[in-house]
Amino acid sequence: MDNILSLLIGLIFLAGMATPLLYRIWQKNTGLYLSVIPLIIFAVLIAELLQLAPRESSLLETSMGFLPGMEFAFRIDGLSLIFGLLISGIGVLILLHASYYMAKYDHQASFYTYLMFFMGAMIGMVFSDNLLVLFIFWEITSVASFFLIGFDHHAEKSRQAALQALLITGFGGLCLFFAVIITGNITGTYVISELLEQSIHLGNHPHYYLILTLTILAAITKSAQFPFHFWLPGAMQAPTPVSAYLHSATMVNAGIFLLMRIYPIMGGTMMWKYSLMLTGGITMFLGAFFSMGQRDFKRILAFTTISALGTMTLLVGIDTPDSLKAALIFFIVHGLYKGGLFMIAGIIDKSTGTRDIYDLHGLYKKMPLTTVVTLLALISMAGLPPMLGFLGKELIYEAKMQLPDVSWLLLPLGVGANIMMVAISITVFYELFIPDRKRKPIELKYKEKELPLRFTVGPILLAVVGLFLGLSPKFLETPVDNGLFFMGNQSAELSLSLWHGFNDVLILSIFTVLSGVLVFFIRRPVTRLIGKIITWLDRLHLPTLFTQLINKYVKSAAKNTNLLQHGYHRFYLLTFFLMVIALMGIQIFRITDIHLPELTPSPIKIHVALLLLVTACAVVFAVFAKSRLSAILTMGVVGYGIAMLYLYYGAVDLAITQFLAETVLMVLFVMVIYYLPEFAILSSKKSRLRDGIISIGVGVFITLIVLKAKFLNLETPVSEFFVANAYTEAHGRNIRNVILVDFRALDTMGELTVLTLAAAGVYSLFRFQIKILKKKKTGTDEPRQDDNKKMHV
Amino acid sequence: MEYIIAIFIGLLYACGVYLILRRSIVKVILGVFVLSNATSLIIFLSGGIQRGGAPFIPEGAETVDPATISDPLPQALILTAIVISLGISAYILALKYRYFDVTGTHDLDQLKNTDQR
Amino acid sequence: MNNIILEKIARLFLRVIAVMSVLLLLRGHNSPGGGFIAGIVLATGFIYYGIIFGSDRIQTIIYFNTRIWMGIGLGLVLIAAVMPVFAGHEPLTGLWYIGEWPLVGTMHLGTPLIFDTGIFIGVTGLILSIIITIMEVLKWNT
Repeated sequence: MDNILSLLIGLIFLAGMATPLLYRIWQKNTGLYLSVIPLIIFAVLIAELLQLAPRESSLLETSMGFLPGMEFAFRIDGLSLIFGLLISGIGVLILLHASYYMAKYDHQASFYTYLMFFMGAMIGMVFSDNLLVLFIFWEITSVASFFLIGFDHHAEKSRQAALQALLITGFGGLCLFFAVIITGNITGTYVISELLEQSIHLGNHPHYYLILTLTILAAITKSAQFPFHFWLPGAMQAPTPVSAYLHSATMVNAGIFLLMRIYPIMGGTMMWKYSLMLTGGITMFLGAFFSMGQRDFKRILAFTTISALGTMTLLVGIDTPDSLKAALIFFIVHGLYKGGLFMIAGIIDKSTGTRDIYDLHGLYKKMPLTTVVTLLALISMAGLPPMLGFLGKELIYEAKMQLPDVSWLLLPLGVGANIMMVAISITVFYELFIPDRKRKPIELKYKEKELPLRFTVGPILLAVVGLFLGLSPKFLETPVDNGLFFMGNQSAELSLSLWHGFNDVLILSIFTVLSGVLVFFIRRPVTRLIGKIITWLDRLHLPTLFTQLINKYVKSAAKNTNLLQHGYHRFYLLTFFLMVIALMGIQIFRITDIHLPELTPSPIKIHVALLLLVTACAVVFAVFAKSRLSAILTMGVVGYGIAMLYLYYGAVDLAITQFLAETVLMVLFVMVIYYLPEFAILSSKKSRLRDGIISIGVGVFITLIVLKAKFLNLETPVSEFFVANAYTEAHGRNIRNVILVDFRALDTMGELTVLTLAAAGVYSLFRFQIKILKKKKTGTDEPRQDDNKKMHV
Repeated sequence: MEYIIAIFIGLLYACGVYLILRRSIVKVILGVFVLSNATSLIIFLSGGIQRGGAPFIPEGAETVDPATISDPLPQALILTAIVISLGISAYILALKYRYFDVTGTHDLDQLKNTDQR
Repeated sequence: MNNIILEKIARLFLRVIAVMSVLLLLRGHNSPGGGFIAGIVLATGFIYYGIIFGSDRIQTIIYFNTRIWMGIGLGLVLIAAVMPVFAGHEPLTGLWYIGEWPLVGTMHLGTPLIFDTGIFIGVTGLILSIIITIMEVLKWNT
C-alpha cells in the first residue's frame, strides 16, 4: 500500500507518454481504457479516506526524486485527500466524456497525452510533500493547460487564449518558485511535513512580505482572481471536456489549494487577510455580475467559476475556523456542480450544435434526463436545499457574519453575488428547457437516447453525489476535520448538517433566493444594463490591454536588442576592450601593495633586445602597411622573431614549431591574399585615433598584468613533478614531449580534435563551391594551368 | 629583460587590438595572428626566462635539476597553442575569403545582418 | 609551370623531408622533435610539392583522402588512449615494453609512441586538407 500512490502517479505519466501508441490500438476507446488508471487512484484514495484518523497524516516516503532533496514523498492528509479525490474522480468522468466528445477531432492522441500529463501533475501537486516538487507539478499543469487551451491550434483565438493563459500562469509560477526558494532558505527545508511539525511561522521574518506577495500572486494568477481573472473566459476556447476539467474543477483550484497548504506557515496576518479578502471579494462579485451579460453557456459558466473562486479566496482570507471549513466545503460543492454543468454544456453543444442559451428553448421534452441533472446542478449552484450547495452557502454566510469589522462590506458583496447566482441559475434553466410557444421547436442532431452512457454518466453521477452529500454531509466531516487540523485550527468545532435551525443565516438565504427570483423576472433590463456596462468596460478590455502590453514589451525588447546588438563588429570589440580596460584598471588600482620583484630580473642582453626592437618595428609596420604583401611579410618577420626569442631561451621545440607554423601560415596567406581585396582606409581619422588610444590602453594594461603575473606566481611545483618523473616513469628525455604525449595526453587529444574540426570547417566552407565551380567550368574550358603562377609572387 | 619582453608583449597587443578594430577583413585576420603570437609569449614569460638550458634530461641521468633548465610546462602549452592558432588562423582565413566571395565586400560594417548581397 | 629543375628539386625535397619527419617523430621522445613538429615538417614538404605540381598531385601521392588520414590519426590517438584500459590501467596511462634489440640497442616502446604517431598523421592530414581545399577553390574560382 505504501508506495502504490507514487507508482500510480508515475503510471499516469507513463500512460500519457504511451498514448500515441495506445491510440493506434484502442482508437476511439482510448479515453475509456485510460480512465481505468484514475479510477484505481480514486479507489486507493477512498481506501485511504476510510483509514484516515482524525488527527493524523500519513507520509509516503520514497527515495525517488528529481534530485537529492527533491524526493517524491507524498503526504496524505484531509486537505490532499479532498483535492485528490475530486481530481481523480472527476478525471475518470472527464476521460469517459471526452472519449465520445472528442471522437471527431484530429490529433486525439496528443489530446489524451496532455490530459494525462495534466492529471498526473495535478494529483502529484496536491499530494507532494516537497515545495519544490509541488512547484514542478504546478508548472506542468500550466504547460499542459497551454496545450489543451490551444488544442484547436489553427484558430487564432485559441492560440491567443492559450498564450495568455500561459503567460499569466507562468508568471505566477515564477513567483511561486521565488517564494519557495526564499522559504527554503529561511527555514532550511523544503519538506512540508517538517515545516508543519516544527510549526514554523514566517510572520515575523523580515522577508515575510516579499514571500507572501509572491505566493499570493502565484495563487491569484492560477485561480483567475481579479485583476488576472480575464484569462479564464478566454480559456473557454478549449474543447468542453478540458474546460470542465481544468477550468472548473481542478487547475484553477490549485491556487486555493496552495493558499490552504501554506496557511499554517504564513497565513493569518493582517496582510494575508486584507489582500485575500479584497481580491476575493471583488472577484466574487464581478464574476457573478458579468455572468448575467453573457449568452454563451460556457462563458456564463466561466464567469460563475471566477465568482466561485473569488468566494473561496475570500473565505481563506477571512481566516476563521469556520471560514476555512466553508472554503473546503465550497470547493467540493463547486467541483461537483461545475464539472457537471460543463459536461452538460458539452452534451447540449453536441446535440443541438449551439451553446447560445438564448437560441435554445424547450429542451425539456427532448432531453428529460439532462433536464433533471441540470436542475440538480443548478440548484446546487444557486445554493438551495437539498443540494450540498446549500450547505456551502450557509457556511459562507455564517463565516462572513462572524467578522464584525468588515462584514458591512463583505456581506452585501456576498449577498449580491449570490443573488446574481440564483438569478443566472434560473435564467439558464428557463432559457434552455422551458418551451417558448412563439419559437420553432429545436431540432436535435442526436437524440438523448442515442448518446452513449459514457458521455452522459459524468453529470449524472456528479449530481447524484452532490445530492447524496447534501443530504448526509456527515461523510465529509472526517477529511474536512483532518484538513482543518493541519491548517492549525485544532479547536474548530465541526458539525455539518443541512438544517441549521431558524437563524440569521437562514433569513439571509431566503432573502437571497427571493431577490434572485426577482432579478430573474426583470432579467431583460438587467441583462441589457450589464451588457452596456460590459461594452463600456470594453475600453478597458483586459485581454486586449494584456495583448497590447505583451506586444509593446516585444517591441521594446526588439528595440533594446537592436541597440545592443547593432551588428557592427568593431563596436562589439570596442565594448569588450573598454570593459576589459575598466575592470582591469579597477583591479590594478585596488591592489595597492604590489610586491615588486621577488626575483631579480634576468640581465638585459643587448642582442635579444635588438631582436625585439626589429620585431617591434615589423609589427608596427604591419599595422600601417599600405600593401597586402608587405603586411604579410612583416607578419612573417614578427613570427620568426618570436621563434628566435624562444630559441634563445632554451625552447628548441617551440622555436621549430613556430618557424614551421609561421611558414605554413605565410604560404596560405600569400595564396589567398590576391583574392582578397586591397587594403583600404575605411574608417575616418577620428575613429582611427580613438581605436589607437584604446589599443594603446589595452597594451599598457597587458604589460602591467604581465609584469604583475611575472612577479606574483613563478615557482610552479607542477613542472618539478614532470621534470622528476619524465624519464623514470615515462621513459622520455624530452620533457616537453613527455608532457604532451603522456602526462597531459588528454589535452593533446582535445587539441587534435579541435584541429580536425578546423580542417573540417575549411573543407565544408568550400565543398559546395568547388562542386558548383567544377560543374560550371568543366565542359566550357579546362582550369587554366597558369593559375598557380599567382601563388608565387 | 623581463621588463623589455613585457613591454614588447604590450606593443604586440596594442597592434593586434588596433588591427582587429579595423573595418577591412584582411586587417582583422592580421590582428588575430598578432594576438595569438602575443598570447603565446605571455605564457612563455610566465614560465620564467632566466633559466638556461633546454628541458632535456641528459643521456645517462635519471632526472635533472629543475633550476638548470627552462620550465617545460609552458612550452608544452605553447606548442599546443601554436598549432591550434595555425588551425584557427587558417580557418579564419578561409572564412573571410568565403565571406568576401559571397558578400562581395570587405567592409565589416556592411556585414550587419545575415542577408546576402 | 614546366621548370625541370624545380620539379626535380621538389621530388627530392619531398623524399628527404619525409624521411626527416619520420626521424623527428621517432626521436621526439628524447630529443627535440615529436609528433607536432614532424607533422608540420612533412606538411611543409607537401606544400612545396603542391605549389609546384598542383594539389591534384598531392592527392595522388598520399593515396588516401586527407580526411581519411585525419581519421587515421585520431583513431591511433584513441587506440593509444584506450589500450591501457584492457591492461587494467586508467585510460591514457603509458604502457611500456623495454627490451634489448640487435643493432639499435635498448628500445623503449610504448603507447605514447602510438599516440605521437597519431598526432603526426593527424597534423599532417589536417594541414594538407586545409591547403588542398584552398588550392582547389582558388584553382576553380578565377
